[in-house]
Amino acid sequence: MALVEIRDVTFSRGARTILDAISFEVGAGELVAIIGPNGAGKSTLLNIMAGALQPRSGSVFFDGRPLGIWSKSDIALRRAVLAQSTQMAFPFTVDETLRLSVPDKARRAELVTHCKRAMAETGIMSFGPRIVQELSGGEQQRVHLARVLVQLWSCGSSLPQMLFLDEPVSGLDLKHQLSTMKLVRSLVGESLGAIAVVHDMNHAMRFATRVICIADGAIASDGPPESSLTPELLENVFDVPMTKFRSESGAMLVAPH
Amino acid sequence: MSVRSTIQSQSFTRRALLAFAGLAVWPLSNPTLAGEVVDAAGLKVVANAPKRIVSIGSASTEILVELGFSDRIVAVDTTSEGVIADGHAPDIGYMRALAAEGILAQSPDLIIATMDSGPKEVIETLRASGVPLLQLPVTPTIDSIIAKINMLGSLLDVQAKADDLSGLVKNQAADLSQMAASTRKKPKALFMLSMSNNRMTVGGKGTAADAVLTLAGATNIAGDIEGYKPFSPEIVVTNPPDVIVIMTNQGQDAMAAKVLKNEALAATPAAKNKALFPVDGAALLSFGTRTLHAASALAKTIHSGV
Amino acid sequence: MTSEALPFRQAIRHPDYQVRLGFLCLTLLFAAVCAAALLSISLGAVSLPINEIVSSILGQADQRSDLIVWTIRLPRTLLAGVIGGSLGLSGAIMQGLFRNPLADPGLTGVSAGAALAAVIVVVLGQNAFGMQANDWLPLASFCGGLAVTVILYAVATSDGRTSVTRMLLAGIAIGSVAGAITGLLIFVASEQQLREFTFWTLGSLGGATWYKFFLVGVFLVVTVPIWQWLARALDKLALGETEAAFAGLPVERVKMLAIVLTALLTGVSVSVSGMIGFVGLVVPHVLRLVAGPAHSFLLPASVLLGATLVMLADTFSRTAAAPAELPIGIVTACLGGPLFLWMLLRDRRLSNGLA
Repeated sequence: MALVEIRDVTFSRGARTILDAISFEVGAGELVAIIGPNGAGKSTLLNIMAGALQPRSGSVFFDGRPLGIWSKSDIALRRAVLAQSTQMAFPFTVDETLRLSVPDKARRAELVTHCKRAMAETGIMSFGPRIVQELSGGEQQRVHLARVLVQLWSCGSSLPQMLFLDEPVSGLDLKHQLSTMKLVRSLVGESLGAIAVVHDMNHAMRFATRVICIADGAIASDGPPESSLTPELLENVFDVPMTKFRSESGAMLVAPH
Repeated sequence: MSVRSTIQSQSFTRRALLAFAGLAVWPLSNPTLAGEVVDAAGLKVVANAPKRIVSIGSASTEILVELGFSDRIVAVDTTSEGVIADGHAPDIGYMRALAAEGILAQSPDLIIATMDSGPKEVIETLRASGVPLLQLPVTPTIDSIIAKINMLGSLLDVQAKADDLSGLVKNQAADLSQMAASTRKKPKALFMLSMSNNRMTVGGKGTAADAVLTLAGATNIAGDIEGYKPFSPEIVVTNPPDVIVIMTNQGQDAMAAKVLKNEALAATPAAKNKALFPVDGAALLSFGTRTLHAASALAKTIHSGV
Repeated sequence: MTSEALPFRQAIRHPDYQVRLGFLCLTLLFAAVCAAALLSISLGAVSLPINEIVSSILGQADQRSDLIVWTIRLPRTLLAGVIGGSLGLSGAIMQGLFRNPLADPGLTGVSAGAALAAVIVVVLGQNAFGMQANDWLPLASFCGGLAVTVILYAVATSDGRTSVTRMLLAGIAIGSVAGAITGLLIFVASEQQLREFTFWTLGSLGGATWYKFFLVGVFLVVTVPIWQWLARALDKLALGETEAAFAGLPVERVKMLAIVLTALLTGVSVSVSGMIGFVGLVVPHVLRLVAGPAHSFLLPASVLLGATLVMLADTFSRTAAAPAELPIGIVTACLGGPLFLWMLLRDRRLSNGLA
């Protein structure tokens, strides 16, 4: 059963229609990459699915129920959102920040385990006492990713959860871009699904189970990366001639001519 | 035959009736005991040969000094500055922002304050301390000065001196009103409390300044406004004053210069005749014993010039 | 875990030590409150030896000492404590709400509203000697502060969402309007009323009574049960409103609660003792520099440090120019102003908040 479903969602800003009657669903076990040119509405779509924006028309469902019915605290047990950038107002340390999204009823000892695990997975093991505001942009992003993971893990919920990521690797160096995408891909499974807005098509190609391409307010394609990301589609959407090829190591890549 | 034996010789019923009648009349006839005074707040105050007096309000300090108690004054407020020699008595602050503990630290056995002293809670605390507290009235009238003198006279058991002093005050008042009545023309006057940034604050109706101008036999051209207010210079053009009274504690030369710089004021008869009279503001406005001295001096100079 | 000892500032942020060190610090702050209270009770224009004070408290001293201790110094010390606590707490909540370490309870318009109400009462509602006005002043200025806060909140809220930026701007606008009306009324006021109002704005604990202490104290004590919940909420809010919502926080409810709380706490204090500035700004700020921004420590610590500071400032204002008294608002401004400048210079990162 789909964990997240949107039906006929339309969104406009002033006279401009950004999203026009978009519908699809995402379930646990999927890593859905949303790609598209600037201004296509990717982040808007993500925010609507996460419940931060109200669509002009259409509805969003989480686990079968309309978003409007879910209380903020209940839905926070089942879904976590990593925004594009998070500006913290005060000089919290990494240790303190990791615990900020945790629901009140989380248990102490387990929390320590989850934090350690999240830090290990995102490569910030030694960052504990450091002040988040003093880290580089990319390092901060990893901290917040760790934070949302801790949020999901400490819920103690056995029901499937959803992770929303808005450009999770944009500020990261190559090594961490790959390790983060790999991490998310490995976490996705029976009890976790993920929807990520990405810019790098090769990330989508390599790590996503499904790619949704948004252009001109509509879904240009929706399917497994290798088959649905054709050079013709990409050239239409991104206005750049592309070629698709397989690298020496066997990975499928797309690149501009 | 004493009253007691007279009553005892009556029948029981009559005695009872008399007692009853006495009870009914008793509240009305409750006399003020010797040395006991009803102050401006309506409370009874008794003092017992006080040796340490705290005086709050210029009027109170002036009268105490005139009645010969200056060596018993242990502390005064800031407005009493100038009445008592500097350093003679510590300053307990501004009369409207008093500190209870500061006053009690002087170990007073009598506190005299004008009715506008405050804050209210401090006055209440001072009353609660058991130290006798007499409050003097603050209406700007001659009667009020007499009342203050009488209150202090009864309280401090110096009736004779008080009567002399109030006699003096009454004579001064009489002289003043004679002087005022004898002049053919009432000069127009303006009382300037301060002038800053070319804007003047003057004394209108209901102020001590207004009362003094009237006593001195002048007409207050600012008599239409209430209280001390900023004044539009246009008024001095339509109703030019013959006399402008300025306060010396502002620095009289500086004030005079400011007045002459203001075009509207410079065109008045007052400015042209250099009829700018400096007065000690505190002395003039306190409505204690200095007021009439200052008012007389003002009246003389006003009327000699006209 | 290394074997070398961590410096205090790091240790108190470390998850393993945070709770214990936090409690230790709170205990120290509580001790500071007690010390400041003792100092405040023992010093004053009248010099009372300690044993007199003690016997007064035990009910065995003479009438004069009793009066000084029970009617003047004790209520004043306690009032200073609860006012300092209320202002410190308000400041911490306000800074958490606006996500800005430079926010001050005055920003919500409470001071402007309270001042306006005070002027209205003093100028329009008095008899010959302003005595009746004084009875109404606390209630009126409290209502004034609350009214302005409600207006600000309404102006800044649409679709159930409160924009903190709009609230700040509206605060400036309403502050100007309140100031203009105040100016008009001052024009109409008499010299005496003017002086009264001036002294009120400078702040003073001179009129302290047991009633005033209970009034402010009750409002402060009533908030205690929600400190921990509010602390966690403000921590989450530091992520940003959207992120905090994603983390499960009922953001709008928290904002409204924070606004109402600060209006109540500041309003009651201002109405009772006039304007005492800088406490709400400086106290949480200093604590944050020393012990980090975690609100579960910051909120109670701000209460304690605020209480200590105001008690010390009041003691100073009573003794420095004895037998006269300095208005306490001036003492806190003299201390707080330079301290604030020093904080700004020391850490220029702070300017990020408002930019």
